[in-house]
This record gives sequence, structure tokens and C-alpha cells, in this order.
Amino acid sequence: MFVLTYLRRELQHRSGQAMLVAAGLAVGVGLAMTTTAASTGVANAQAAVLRTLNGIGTDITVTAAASDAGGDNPASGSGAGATGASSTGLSVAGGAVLDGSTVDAIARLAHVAKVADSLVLTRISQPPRGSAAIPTATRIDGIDVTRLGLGPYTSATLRSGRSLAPSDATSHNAVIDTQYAAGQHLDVGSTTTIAGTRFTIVGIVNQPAGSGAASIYLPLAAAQRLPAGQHSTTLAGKVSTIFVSATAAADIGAVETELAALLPSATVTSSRNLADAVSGSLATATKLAHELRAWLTVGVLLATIAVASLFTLASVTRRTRELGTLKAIGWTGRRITIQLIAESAAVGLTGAALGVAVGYAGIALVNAVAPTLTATADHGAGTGTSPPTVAVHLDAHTTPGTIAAATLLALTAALIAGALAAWRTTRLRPAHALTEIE
Amino acid sequence: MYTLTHVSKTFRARGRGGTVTAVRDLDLSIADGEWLAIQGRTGSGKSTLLQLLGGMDRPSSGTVALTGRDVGAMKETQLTGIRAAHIGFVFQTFNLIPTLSAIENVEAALVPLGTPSGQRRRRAAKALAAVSLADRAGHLPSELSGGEQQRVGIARAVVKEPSVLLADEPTGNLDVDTRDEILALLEKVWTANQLTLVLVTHDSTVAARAERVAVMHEGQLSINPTDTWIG
Repeated sequence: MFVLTYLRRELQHRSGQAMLVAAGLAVGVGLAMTTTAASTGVANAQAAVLRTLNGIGTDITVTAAASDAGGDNPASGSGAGATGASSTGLSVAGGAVLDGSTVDAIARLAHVAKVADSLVLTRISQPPRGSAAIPTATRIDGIDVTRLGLGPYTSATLRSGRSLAPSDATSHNAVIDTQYAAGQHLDVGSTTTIAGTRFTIVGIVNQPAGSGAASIYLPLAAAQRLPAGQHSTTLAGKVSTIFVSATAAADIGAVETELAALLPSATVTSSRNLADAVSGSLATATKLAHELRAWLTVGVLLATIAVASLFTLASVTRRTRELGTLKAIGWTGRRITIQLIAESAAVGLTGAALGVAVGYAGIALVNAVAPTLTATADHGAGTGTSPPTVAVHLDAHTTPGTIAAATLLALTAALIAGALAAWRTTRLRPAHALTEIE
Repeated sequence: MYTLTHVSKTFRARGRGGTVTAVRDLDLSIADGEWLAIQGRTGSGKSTLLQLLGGMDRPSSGTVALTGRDVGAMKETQLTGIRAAHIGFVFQTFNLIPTLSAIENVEAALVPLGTPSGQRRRRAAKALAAVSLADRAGHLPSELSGGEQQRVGIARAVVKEPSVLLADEPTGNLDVDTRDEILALLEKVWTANQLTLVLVTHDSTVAARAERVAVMHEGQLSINPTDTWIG
């Protein structure tokens, strides 16, 4: 086709200028891809943090306030003996509990899709008196194995053995964290003793490092039977944290209201509240990404169109006499417009292809140089000890949708530039166009 | 072929305000198959007159009729169609597309007619052969001499078998020997294709080759009374 021949010759002849326009488009596409990927990476990092703290699918957590009248502060411990030997103590994380029957009441609320409960315990191991060793704290989560699917346990991925199942409800089986297993030299099939009760390890899971997740997962009933402390208080039927999933994101507010009415003295925390409570470099990066993303994307788009338009217009203006000649020998304005737009489209596609490469390079650079971000949940997610700090490495990546959108951006910018130039040129009468000095 | 009645063309003077009248109340008839030369000094309005004949501009007043149809009243698309099918142009500065080869420049004149690519290539090759440039078909304009470029320009103008050939100072940028070659070629093309040829020039030697000479002065036209039109 003559259009393609003319297009090819023209782009070869003005390859320098064409590459300049393509490079401008490429920078725009690359920047759009990189900023979108970085922003997505930050958003994903925040979501990962929240999943780690709250578990996958959890919209709201309910914990007892420390001064809750229905709550107890049972703490157990074998106490340090008079001889100063090492000792361990078991206590409820957060120091307060809720009645387990509350779970059924919550499950019956109108906008609640799923509910799960757990009893979070902390085992403090005191070194012998006079020892230089420091006390160690081990988090033990008693989880309701008949209500799996919510809570921090959902963030764990099975490494060996098997996960806890509803059939473990009355068992003394346990699942432990990989790092805990390595530190304690435990494996699937080993046994571990907690407050005098022996548990068999049936599975080992991987969990995000530094997330503050439990080292040991037990069936809830087994955790509730553990000696609860110096007082005669028992943990039977008690839970420390209830995880709630709403029927829809729009219903989270309604569920919060219903929970506040049902449990006026409990602490109700939504994912949004938790996100607000997260501090650290991740929170800063998230805020920065949200604020800059829209402005950067719009700015990049406008700059790309402006660059493409200016260079294309300049290039076509220099060809005014040539295009006037074509009109003189019978080329219609429409045919000339198609020719110019085809040339711009070719430059646009080239710019888009280059831009995708620039985008991938930019994303690789972000991933290579981005510091590890940290997030601390200032509102403790029921651990009772110091708020957990999660470390996440920014994982910026792009999607086919982003690449398609960026390519469309480059092409649109090029087509707009070509159309503007064609409109200006084809308006001229041939006599006027032929008098233009190149 | 052409009938011009009280034709005037006025331009706005850029920067200085006021107007410039390039063609002033002009009457002219050009017969089918005639070779008319319009001679005049630079700035006399002869190129403007040629552009009016070719439908590349519209008269400010008066009528330019081509085979009885008022060119000035036509829509732009109609004018473009007439130029595509019936009018060939030869320019002083050749006006070849610099990125296209000689044969592709000739083909460009057939593109608006929707000529299939194979037929287009054959006709372009034949047109180049007619101007003795068959062996330079693949060369770019930058690789051709002035005379060769003008031959390509002539081939482009006649490849569509127009009824009118308008030449604006076709030898203005050429040396004497090449001028004569181009004139001979134009004469050959005029005779072979039975065209109506209107040639604009400032050179009286060039003008003398035509059947009839009109002289343009300050926008007004007078037919040289000493020439005899050979019918």
C-alpha cells in the first residue's frame, strides 16, 4: 500500500525526530508504569501487613477492654521457686477475655458473613535468678478449628505436615511456626509441653517474619483447659479475640455499629482503624503514594501529549509545501490526514514499546533500591505485649492491564498530535501551502 | 476549455495592512488543445492566475469556468477531484516528495484515482520512460539533477492523462541547455496527449515556443498583438 511505503520512507528520513517523539512518549509510558507499580506495591504491602496483623478476610476484630467487667485477667505461672530456678508463666494476652457465647451472638448479626474466635496466650519463660539470659515470650493462639477462615492463622502457609482441622477440636494437636520449630528443634511428630500438657506437633507453617504472629497454634478447647493462673479462674468458654467478616465492604460500618451496641464495653477495631493505627515507613510511603499517584499520572499524561504534539506539529509544519503539493496533484485532505495519523501511530507504537521497556526497567530499579518498609500497629491486635512490627520489602510489579493502559496512553497522545497537525495543514488551500518556505 | 470573466484576486498584505491585487478584472478564453504562454515579470500576478486556473485558490470576484463549470463555486472536495483527474501541474521548484523515489513520486499522482498498485506501477514506469528516465526510477530526488527532477515532475503531471497541463516557470531553475530539453519535452507531451497547456514564464524565449502569448502586467492581461494563434 502506498500509505505504508510513504510512511516507512518518511519515518526513515526523519528517524531522528521520530525517535525523539517516541522517546518522549516512552518516558511518559515508563513513568506511568513505574509510579503505578510502586503505588500498587505500597498498597499491596499495606494489605499484606493488615493481613498479617488481622488475617486474611478479617474486617473487624473484637477484643475485651482491659477494664471490661466481664473480663478476667487470669494469669498463671509456676512462679520462680525459692531456689531461683527458671520458670514459665502463662497469661492471657491483653489481660482480658470475652465470653465465648458472644461469638454466636455476633454470628447472628445482620451484616456478618463469617466469625471466628481465638484465645491468645503468652508464655513467659523466666531464666534462673542471677542468669544473664533475658526472659522469652512465646505467643500461643488457641483457635476455633470449627471456624477456620479468619484471623492471623489464615496468613500462615503450610510447610510440612498438616494444618489443624475441625477434627482436632478436642485433640492435643498443635501447629507451630517454622522459626519456633527451628529454635526448639521440633518437627512434625515431635511433642511439646505447655503448662504441663503435652501436645503433638502435626504441622509446621511459614509466617511473615517479625509479624508478631503466634509461634504455637492449639485447638481452642485445649488452650482453654490450660492452667489459668494463681486464681481459681478458668479459661473454659473464654476467648480473647473475635474476628468478624462483613457481608460486603459497604457493610463494615453497619457491623461496627451493631457490635458496639451488642458489646458496649468491648474494643471494636476495623481494618480501616488498623490501617490508621499503622505507623512507620510503610504508612508514610502509603500516604505519599496515594497523594502523588493521581497528580503524577495526570501530569505525565499531559506532558506526554504536549511533547508529542509539539514535535509532531513542528515536523508537519516543515512539510507544509510537500503536503500542499499532494493537495495540488489531487490528494484530499482526508487522505493526507490518514497519512499523517498513520505516521503518528507508528511513532506512538514505537514509543509505547520503548515505554514498556523503560517501565520494566524503572520497576526493577524501584525493587532494587527501595528500602525495607516497616509498619507498627499502634493499636495492638490483641497480643497484649508490645505492638508487633512488620517488615515488608516493597514488591512493585505491573499488570497486563497497566501495560495496556500505558500503551493506549502513548498511542492516544501520538494520534492526538497527528490529528492536530493534520487539521492545521489540511485547512490550508494548496496555493497557500505551496508558498510556505521549508 | 477555460473562460475567465472579470476575474480579480486580492490578498491581504501581512504586517502592513491593506491589500494587494494580484489579478485585476481579467478576461481570458483558452481553447481545448491550445498552448498558451503567460509571460510577465516577477510579481505581475501570472502565478496567481495559474493557481486560479488550477483551482488551487479561489478568485475574489469574477468567474473561472472550466468546461463550463464555475471553479470558484465548487466545494473543496470537488476541486480536489478535478485536479486529481483532469489537471496536471509542473512546478518551478519541481516539488517532488523528497522521501519517495522517482517512480513513487509519479505513482503519487495516481493514488487519488484509486488505481490498483500493479497498474499504478506500470503506468508510472511508462510515464518515466516517456521522459527518458526509466533507468532512474529508483532514485530519490536528491540523487537527480535539476533537469531530471523536472522530467519526473512532468511525468507525474501527465501520468494521469489529464486534459489540462499547468506549468509554473518549469524552466526557471534550469540552465539554458536543460531549459531547451524541458521545453522540447513539454512540446512533445502537449502534442502526443493533445493537452491544453498553460505555461507561465518570465522568459520571452520560453514564451515564444507557445502557440499564443499573453503578457501579464500588474495584474492585467494583454494578448501580444504580434503573435498569430495557430488554430
